[in-house]
Amino acid sequence: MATTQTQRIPGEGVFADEPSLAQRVLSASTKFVRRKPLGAFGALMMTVLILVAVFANVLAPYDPVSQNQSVALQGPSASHLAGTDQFGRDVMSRLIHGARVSLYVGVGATLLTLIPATLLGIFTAYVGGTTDYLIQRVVDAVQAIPGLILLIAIVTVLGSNLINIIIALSFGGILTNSRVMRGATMQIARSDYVEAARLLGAKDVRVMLQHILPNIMPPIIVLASLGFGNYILAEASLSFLGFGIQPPAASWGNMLSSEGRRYMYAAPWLLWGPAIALSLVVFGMNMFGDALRDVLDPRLRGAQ
Amino acid sequence: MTRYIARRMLGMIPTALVLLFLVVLMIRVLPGNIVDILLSDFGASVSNEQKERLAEHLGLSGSLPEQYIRYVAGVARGDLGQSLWDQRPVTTIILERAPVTAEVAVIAIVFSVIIAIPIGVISAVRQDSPIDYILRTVSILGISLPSFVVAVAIVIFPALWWGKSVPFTYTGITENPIQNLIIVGPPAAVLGLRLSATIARMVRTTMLEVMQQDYIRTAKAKGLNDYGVIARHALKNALIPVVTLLGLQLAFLVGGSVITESIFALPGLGRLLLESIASRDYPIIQGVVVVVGFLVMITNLLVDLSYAYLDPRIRYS
Repeated sequence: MATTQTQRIPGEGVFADEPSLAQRVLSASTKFVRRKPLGAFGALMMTVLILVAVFANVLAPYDPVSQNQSVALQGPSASHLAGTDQFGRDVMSRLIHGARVSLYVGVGATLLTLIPATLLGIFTAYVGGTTDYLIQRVVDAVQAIPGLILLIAIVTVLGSNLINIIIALSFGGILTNSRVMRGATMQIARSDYVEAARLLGAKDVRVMLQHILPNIMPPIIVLASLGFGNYILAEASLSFLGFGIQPPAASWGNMLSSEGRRYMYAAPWLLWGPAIALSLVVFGMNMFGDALRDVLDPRLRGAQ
Repeated sequence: MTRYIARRMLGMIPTALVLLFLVVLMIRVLPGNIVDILLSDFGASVSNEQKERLAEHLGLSGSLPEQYIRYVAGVARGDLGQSLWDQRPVTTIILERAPVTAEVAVIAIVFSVIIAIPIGVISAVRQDSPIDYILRTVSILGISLPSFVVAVAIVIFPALWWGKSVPFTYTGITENPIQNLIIVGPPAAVLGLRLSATIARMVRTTMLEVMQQDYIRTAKAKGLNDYGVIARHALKNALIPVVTLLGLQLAFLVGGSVITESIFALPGLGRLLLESIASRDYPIIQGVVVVVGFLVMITNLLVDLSYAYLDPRIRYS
């Protein structure tokens, strides 16, 4: 918008009182909070997760892996807010450090999925033909394998550590999400302005990146927000089954795993922390993703 | 219609071939020499001949294309190889375990549909009322609660409160149907709870869409009462996407069985997979992935075909 021009041009007055970027963000957020309170709650959950994960070292009262048998299996108290586990480790500190694993997995897998998935989706929609056909059959094959089983298989092959878990999560995600992007691209590619750009002699890469990419941003953002929660949940399931983050390192999933479960009869607080943390974060992300979809998808706008 | 089915079934072949390729590749890309790792327990007493035999057993002899062709030929004959440890055919082992997983899945689906359809319909008919809001929030909570958290809670809380625990010794349905149901019930409820939340959301969305259609307005204008409109006109049409969703959830049910079967100690496919990974029984791992993958592909086909019956506007040519 040409607000820096000194000479008035017809119609410029329409934009003259346009609020600054900060004001616009603020008013959009206020509107979002009012219209989608649960979505805003989700955004809050995500902010809390990020802050806790980033400042884990400052926030955690104890070392998450240091053992102290003299305080093993104590209930919540002033010195151990969420109690201690069978090795006398502080559960609260483990929860806080577990948030870091969840954030790494959420952010890592989302980024590692969306960028290749978007490029692959646009590419396959654009080239079509045999290449597209073959890639779609690979997508079909991978989609036929249940997510958790695919994850376990990949982690069994790669070995289980944080990086490999993120890679395993992304592998399925790239293929599955690329199909959504492919669908969105095909819709956009038929529109007049893309045709016009092509007639004007724009190169394929330019059409893909400048005309198609910005127009498929809404599904990308929605997939990102829903994916984030799903990846966190998948890592927790994997760690719960013993294929993910290995003890003594803390992850919300492995805190609930079979070894800890033996002590949960005597010490149910071992269950509370990770269960609540995990449920809140996944619930928040689902609500946030839902709200974003309502706001960003024009077809659903007004449908509430 | 017959031509459509035939074409769709032919279309599944390339996908099946890709799936089998991934499964064969999986063993190839395992880090380290898998034969050495498996035989490492026996130390130096292993002869080269024994190594070769194991490699052959794993389908590892020859080049990748050779291995692939051999595996595909095997699958075509219904042969998924033999278990490494007890030498029994993988197909037999899977057939032993599959009924347990199937039973849990069927009960979970029935359970979830019974809960979800009324919830979704009420939520849609009373759109934006407090009850709609409560039902929607509960549904999303149901989706957000991880299956293993719910399952662990089901195991632990009765034990804490009443000193009773869910039984962990599996009883077959033919031995004692009631005892069997008591054992299979909790895991089915865990999976069904989550499934019902997903379905309820879908029913609500599709009902809202359908209720805006002209034919609903016509039905109302004719003077049909609310119940008649909802039951005879709206719900029937709103359920079409729900059938798709149910089909797609098969993968979730089988994937989820890995978790529930491990917690509730059920001898199904999920636990078979975990046991085989622990004992590095690769032919079984491959077999489970192949069988589950094929099952999901066939379900997707059936879902597509069921459209023709559910929605008369869809005709296949």
